[in-house]
Amino acid sequence: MTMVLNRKLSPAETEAFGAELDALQKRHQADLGEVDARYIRRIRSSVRIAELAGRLMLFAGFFPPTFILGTLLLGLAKILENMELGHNVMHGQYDWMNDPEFNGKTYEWDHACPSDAWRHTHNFQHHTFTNVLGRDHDIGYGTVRVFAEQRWRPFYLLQPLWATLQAVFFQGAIAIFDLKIDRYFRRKAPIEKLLVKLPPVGRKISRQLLKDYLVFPLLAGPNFLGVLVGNLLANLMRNLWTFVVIFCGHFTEHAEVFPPSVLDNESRGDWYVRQLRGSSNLTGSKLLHILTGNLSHQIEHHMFPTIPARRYGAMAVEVKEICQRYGQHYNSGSFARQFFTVVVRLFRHAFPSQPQRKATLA
Amino acid sequence: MALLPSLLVNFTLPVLTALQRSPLAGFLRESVFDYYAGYLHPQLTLKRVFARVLAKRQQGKNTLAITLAPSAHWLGARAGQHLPLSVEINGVRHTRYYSPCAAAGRAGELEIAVKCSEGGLVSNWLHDQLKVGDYLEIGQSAGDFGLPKPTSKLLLLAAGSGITPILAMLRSLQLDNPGCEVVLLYYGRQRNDMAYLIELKDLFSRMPRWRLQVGLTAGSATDNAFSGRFCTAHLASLAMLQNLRAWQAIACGSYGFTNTVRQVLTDAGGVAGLQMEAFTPPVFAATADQPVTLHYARAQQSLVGDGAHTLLAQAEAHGLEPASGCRMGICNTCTCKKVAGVVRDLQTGLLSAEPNESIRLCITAPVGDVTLDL
Ligand code: FES
Repeated sequence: MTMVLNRKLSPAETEAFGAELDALQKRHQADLGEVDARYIRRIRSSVRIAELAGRLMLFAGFFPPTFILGTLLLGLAKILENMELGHNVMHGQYDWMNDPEFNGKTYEWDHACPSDAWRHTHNFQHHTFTNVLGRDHDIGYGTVRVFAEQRWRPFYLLQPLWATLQAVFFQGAIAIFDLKIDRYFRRKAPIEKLLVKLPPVGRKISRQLLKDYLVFPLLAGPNFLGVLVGNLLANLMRNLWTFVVIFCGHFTEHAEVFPPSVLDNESRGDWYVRQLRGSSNLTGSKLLHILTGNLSHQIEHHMFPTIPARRYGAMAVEVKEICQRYGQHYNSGSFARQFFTVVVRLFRHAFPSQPQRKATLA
Repeated sequence: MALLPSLLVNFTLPVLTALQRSPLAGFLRESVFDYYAGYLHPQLTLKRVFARVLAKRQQGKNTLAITLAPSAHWLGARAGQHLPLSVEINGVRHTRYYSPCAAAGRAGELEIAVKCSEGGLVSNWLHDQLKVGDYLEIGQSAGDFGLPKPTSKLLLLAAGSGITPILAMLRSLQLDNPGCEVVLLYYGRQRNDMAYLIELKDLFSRMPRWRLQVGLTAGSATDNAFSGRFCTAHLASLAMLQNLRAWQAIACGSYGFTNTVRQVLTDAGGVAGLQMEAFTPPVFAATADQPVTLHYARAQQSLVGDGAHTLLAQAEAHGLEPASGCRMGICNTCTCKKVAGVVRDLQTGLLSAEPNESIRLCITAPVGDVTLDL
């Protein structure tokens, strides 16, 4: 990692860089309309139809072809709902439609984490303080060490195992992660606060568990077990997939973390540069982009979180060109390659490591 | 189009309303239910009210009358109330408010009048695109504008499309209080512009104690019509109104019209009671530092603001505590419903006057008076 990836930008250059990205956002914002509305409704319909078809097939009994197809469809529905529909709608990407169904503030997703909690940790903390140590709690999700800048603890020695567990239980992990339970043990926050935050999470988790592991299996009558197992596998599919996509977004080889001091007097241009350096893209087919909720365009998503994600692909062409002109590294690679570098990080930083270069912002 | 007959749907809807008060409600996501149910019938929803378009007909030169049959979720309207109606144009939902031309009971038919104006996005869409048999989303009716009770002498003043709530009141009076004396002064540009003139003439001809007086603001005044805008002279020439203080007055029209009405009636010595409703077009402030009024609906406060600062900063300066996060337009935490008024998105520079839209307070500044759901 000795090669210089990013040219140091002068304050004037940083400002111009930001202005070009602002202009790009403005162009797309002004162009939103029918096509975007039709797209998100189509995604919504796909989710609903896949879920209905999946559940009906699972009801049909433990006959391998329908069982497998039903599980896959249900898993697909959950993935699409969480990523392309829920995640993006909750960012307010479709607020301009004024349609209550796609309102970012009121949307409630099919996920163990209550939407309100998600909106706070993800939309605000993670998106505003992306990859800033101590401020963006998504760095390693509190259980793994993926950057040398994170303080090493013996706990991290087993982190490949922790990461695997986290992947398997990802939705629950996210819901609980948001509570930041360790802070109460370390007496950094009063326990009363936890007692306020706990009930909505408990309600949402138990409702999700009841739905998939009791209500639907019971509805299936004699096929109780088949439906239960199918739901379990579908949730597992969704968990593994979202885990992989999210880890590929910020913890790849060239992704950087920043000390909290970057936030002092950070200009709009600096903010864009930080979003660029902290995020990484995945290249692939159209299907891959849709299944990741277009988070395969993580860089564009972090620069323009309120623009409908279906536009990121088109925006990426221009963002890449702008980055090139300013000599900024555009972190992009195939799914397999990017994920491999994440795994490397997981193993490397399980052991004590020193930051090789200071993350500095131009 | 619909797999279920409408009659069955209207029996089902009250059951759904009851279901939402049961413990099962926690498992029922409205958007999911509405999606699947929509395949059975467009009106089969958990809460949202959809109305079927029964008829479209021209009323006067520029007005379109639309007859709607709302689902059983609709709770009816008193004479004088208004209701929201939404249409989607180029992916964006627009909402406008209309007063039905007659009071309606729960799920009863209703008629609204849409005045077509140049550049009127929704009205033109309704004129050109709406088809009989379509379904439109409406909302519950609201508003305190309505008939005073009890009343024996009523002076009604309407201008332009201000006639619709007045017509609803007349129809209610005819049924509930036919002994009431009524004078209606109805203003329009020219006779062929004026909606519901035929209906009104017919109605008044059957009511001996009622008097209809037309006023024409453009063109020559013919057969007994007043000419020009409402003024003291018009009032004075109506013999029935000798003892004006005994009359209750109701006025509906543009802001300019209701202002004139208030002035003229006060100058003439006042009335027993005055109720007015004006459609206010959005007000644009000329410059950024010109003072504007910010209405905070939940806090029930109206305070002076300006167009130079974001609505978030101003609300905080006014002592409110709106939720906020990034303060740079990316996190969606400060998103709030703007009930009415014109605002500017500071990132794109785009203006918007749409009622009831979501805006991000931290990157939005008012351009004129604004009402926020804060
Ligand atoms: S405070 Fe984050 S969008 Fe306004």
